[in-house]
Amino acid sequence: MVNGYDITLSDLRKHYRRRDGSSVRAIDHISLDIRQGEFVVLLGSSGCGKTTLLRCIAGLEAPDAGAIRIDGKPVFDSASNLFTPPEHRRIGMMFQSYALWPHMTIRENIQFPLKMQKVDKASAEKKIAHVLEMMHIGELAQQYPNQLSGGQQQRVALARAMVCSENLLLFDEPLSNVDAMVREHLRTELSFMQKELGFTAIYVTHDQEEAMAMADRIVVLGGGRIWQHGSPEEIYHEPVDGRVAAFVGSANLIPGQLAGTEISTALGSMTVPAGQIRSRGTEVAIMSRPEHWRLSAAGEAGGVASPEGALKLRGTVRLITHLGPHTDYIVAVGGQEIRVRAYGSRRLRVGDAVDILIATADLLVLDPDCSTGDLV
Amino acid sequence: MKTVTSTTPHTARRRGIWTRLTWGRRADGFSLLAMALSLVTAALILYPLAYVTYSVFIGGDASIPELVSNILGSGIGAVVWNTVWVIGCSILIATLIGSFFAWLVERTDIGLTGLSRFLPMMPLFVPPIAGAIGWVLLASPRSGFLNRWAQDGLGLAGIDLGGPLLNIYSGPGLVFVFVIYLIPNIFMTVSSHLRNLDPALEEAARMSGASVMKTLYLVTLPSVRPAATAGMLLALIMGLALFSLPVVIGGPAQIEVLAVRIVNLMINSYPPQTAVALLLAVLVIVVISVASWLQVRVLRRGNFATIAGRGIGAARVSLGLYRGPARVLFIAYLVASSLLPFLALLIVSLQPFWTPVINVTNFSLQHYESVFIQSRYSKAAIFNSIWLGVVGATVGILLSAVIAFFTNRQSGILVSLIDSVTKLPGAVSNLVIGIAFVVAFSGSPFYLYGTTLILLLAYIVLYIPQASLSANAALHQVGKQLTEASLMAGASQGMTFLRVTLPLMLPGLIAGWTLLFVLMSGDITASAMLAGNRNPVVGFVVLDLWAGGSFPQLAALGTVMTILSSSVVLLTLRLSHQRHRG
Repeated sequence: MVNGYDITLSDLRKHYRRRDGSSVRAIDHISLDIRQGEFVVLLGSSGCGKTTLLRCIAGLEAPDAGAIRIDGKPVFDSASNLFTPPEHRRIGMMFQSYALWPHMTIRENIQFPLKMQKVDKASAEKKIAHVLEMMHIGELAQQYPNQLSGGQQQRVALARAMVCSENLLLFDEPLSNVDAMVREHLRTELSFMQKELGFTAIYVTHDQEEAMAMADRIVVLGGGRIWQHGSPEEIYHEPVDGRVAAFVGSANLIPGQLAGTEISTALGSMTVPAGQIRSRGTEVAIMSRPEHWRLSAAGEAGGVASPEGALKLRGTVRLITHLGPHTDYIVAVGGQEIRVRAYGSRRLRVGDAVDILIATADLLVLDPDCSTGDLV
Repeated sequence: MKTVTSTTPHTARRRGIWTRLTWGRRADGFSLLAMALSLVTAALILYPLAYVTYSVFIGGDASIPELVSNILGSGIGAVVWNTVWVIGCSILIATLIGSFFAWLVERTDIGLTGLSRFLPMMPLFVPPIAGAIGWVLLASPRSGFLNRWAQDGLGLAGIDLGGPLLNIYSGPGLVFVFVIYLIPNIFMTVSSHLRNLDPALEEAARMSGASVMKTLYLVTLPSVRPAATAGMLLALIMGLALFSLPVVIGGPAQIEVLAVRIVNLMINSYPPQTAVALLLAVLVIVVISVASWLQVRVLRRGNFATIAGRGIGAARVSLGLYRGPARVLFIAYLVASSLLPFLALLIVSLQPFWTPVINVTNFSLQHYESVFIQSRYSKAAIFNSIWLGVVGATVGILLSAVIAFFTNRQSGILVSLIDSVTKLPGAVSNLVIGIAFVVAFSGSPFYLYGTTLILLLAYIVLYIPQASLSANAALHQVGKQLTEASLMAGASQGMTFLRVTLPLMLPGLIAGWTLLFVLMSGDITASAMLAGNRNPVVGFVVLDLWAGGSFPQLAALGTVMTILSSSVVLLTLRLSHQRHRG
């Protein structure tokens, strides 16, 4: 087990100029500390700046300003005009397209980083043999990349990245090009390997499920800024605002105005425990997760009671989506659509009137967008 | 292992104005070399142009109004009018036929995939000068083979034509050869666009109830319009600069076009009327610039579909009964553009003198002997052309590969400047480059007149746009992440270029090399102005023989040119095909 590198990003900034001359902030004042051996996932929709951030750490792009330290050593610092090029950073990287060199065999591909780093022959051979065995690709060594399946290419790409560096590996959406089965398999394998070998991993993806599954810490990015970072549980259960809640998992957001603990919404007035109110402004969104709702046919005997500390609404089923273990119902309540997740069968049909119920302790009152809250 | 820290001087450099201007990051040895090569190339392109502009228009004693009245008094109106209608008609016809061929090959069940691969390369098989002479031999009014055969054939049927069937020495004749040589430009741009155009666009139209013809008219044609206009612009640039076709065919037809007038001002008048020639060449540049501007306007006006589909499962239009005629038309073009002129050249080169009556017993190699063995002058010309082609193509393509790698990885003012400068020779037409080289390098301080070095430099500058097109295309075949992966693996820029980028660019570079070799070894325009008795090249000898009217020797030279460039092209095709399979 080796020590993973720790990484410090301080106040990074980078902007791009569009064709029309306007400028886009790809990275907008980002600071982040990544611990040794941590698995960090940069999560965001396309254009949020996650790939740019990763490429800045790699050295494939230079930020406009700020500083990056890897393993305590500065590799970029705008104050002292310092920029270490990628070939001197010793970081392994797995690319979205795998980027296996088609004119080299698998063995030559994996050997290349060692040759470039002038590792002596004997230890290079040992390293190659080890990584070939670990990734179960020993029998492919003499083949060329175009003779391999997508999953095999991925293993080779990972092997090559691991040969590049034992301390820090970067992943640029490496699992987005294979089918779901292979993806899940590789995801598990990668998680195991990271825990076992102890390298620091920075992983870019737009797939929230992938992020939840692999990360020690998720960094949710949007518009070049960090919206929130924290463990998968924190991000899911304590999103800082409506945007994060909607991006990670599915969320029902009911807009309203806050006064005390009373929120007036299009569905009427609701009271939420003071501990659940996280908003700073008065324009809020009431967030609930689909699995926290319960549902029954309207007025059904023995159906959902309306105990104290619960919110009960009556609506109509608009859409039923069977997802195997559970079923999602889109229920129209007033002008609002609420997604309710139920386990087991309900014998409901589209158009049926239903009662839905949630404990008010499961509601969160959030700013729709906390960055605008900052401005107020 | 030593851990590289960023404080070692070679890894970290101050981001001064120099690096900011060129890189936005740091400079290493390889990039400095690439930069130096780029700057030398840019200087080689810019210096003669700047020098000629200065010495003729500013430092010289020529006054522009005087020049203009001089030009106007020389019957320039007719020359301009000839140029306009010959090239205008040629481009229109070539666009129609070329686009039609592209559609046939990419979207219908015409088949012929093997043959269609050759079409864009047709001018490389038979160089324009050889093709033009070939068509003179085929369709000149008095002794053209086709005329004689038509007369005999129709005579048997009791029809007397009373005159020649075809006359290549005419307006339509000139347009005909132009069309033959412009079609590949259009075909190439339109067919590559069609290949990248998502067939789902057309399938969606069919599903919406549009017929084959309606789909073609309403969806396919509008979406290839940008490619067609780009092809037309290419054809215009090439058409205005083509000197070989109008000098061979337009001369006897007494249809003088601008390119011929400009070259003649430089070589057939003493002293050379450089100022007048240059002013006319500037006119050509203005026309090309206006056309490029118009093209940009056309492209900007509409939203064109540029989605790159993978072209899989494109349902081809069934031609049905028309498949036969379509195939005949396609093959007819290939025959007319290469096989017929080549056969005519071959037959005449073996005859004692050019006659439409073919008598195999008279065939001999005497003209080959006189051209390639007895005449030291043309022997030297062949030798010069081959080595100039080999060296020029190699230098040109390697230079372009390095520049392409450099400009694609960096951004900044200097990089975009270098990029536009390497495109410049394409836009200013090879006539101007020829004049500029004569003026800038002939005398003090270079004294390169009559040397092969001046030809080498001129060829490299002339064909650097084609070279950088090939190099850039080859580079784009190499995914960006492949280079980045190499950097991440710890390879320097230079190592990355040598070990990853260059090997992967190789197939594209070989194709580019072939193109350059054929263009350089068969160059006429610059050679007409820069070559002479002391530094003869094939293009110069051909013009010389043409002026002397020695057709069989001309045919022998044309045959050898055709065989030489065809075999180089075929060899490359074979090589790249093998690579592709391997």
